[in-house]
Amino acid sequence: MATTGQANSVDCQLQVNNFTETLLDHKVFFQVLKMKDSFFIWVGSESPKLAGLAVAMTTNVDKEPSSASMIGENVDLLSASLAKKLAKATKKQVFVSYNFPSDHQLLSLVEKRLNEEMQIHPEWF
Amino acid sequence: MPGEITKPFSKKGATVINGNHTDIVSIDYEDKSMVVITQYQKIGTLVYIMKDGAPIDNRRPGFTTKILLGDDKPVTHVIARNLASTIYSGKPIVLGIALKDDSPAVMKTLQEVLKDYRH
Repeated sequence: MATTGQANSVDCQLQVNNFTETLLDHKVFFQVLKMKDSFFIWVGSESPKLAGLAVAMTTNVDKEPSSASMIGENVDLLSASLAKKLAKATKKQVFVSYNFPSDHQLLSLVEKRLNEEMQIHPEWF
Repeated sequence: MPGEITKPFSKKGATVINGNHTDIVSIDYEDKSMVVITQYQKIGTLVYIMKDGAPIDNRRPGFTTKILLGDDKPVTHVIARNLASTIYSGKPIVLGIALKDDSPAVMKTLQEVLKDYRH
């Protein structure tokens, strides 16, 4: 595969998949790292940055998933909000790095696109 | 165009260290590197690694480590700093590490293995 370099002879059990979509004139790049019972989604532009990083998972004590921001100048609300929604939908531990400025229309389109991809490629998540 | 979807660039692979299957994924961002080294197929502990501004000893760069998520064990800081000296490429590193065995021998093996995952 052109997108990844395989460095050893033993097979890597983690998967990395990329896709892209034009949303509101933004070229949006997606990358999904699939792990055991968890995944990491990166959403960003052509010049890929890892500005924020949040994690979310469902708990037994609350209907809403619990989330935490780990990297980000400000509290990274967009990554955390997206992580919560994905955690609720998948019941997995979800890491999200969302690298666009605050724009709720774009965020909801990104979410919609991710949901579509989960239908097309459930094995990626 | 196939070339357009490769961003951010990632390298992945696996190796066996002392009988433990070890998956490694390294992703290159403009402002940071992300490296996942796992024997559990999970992120485990997340460590943020920055290069020190003014090293005490100029021959060997120092790194500051901060646990973002997971167990804050001293040995994790030691491993993270040592691995950083192999994979550091001028940007802060976000390291996800989950090892079944955190012995010095495993760390040294990882230092060698990680040379193939530099960007």
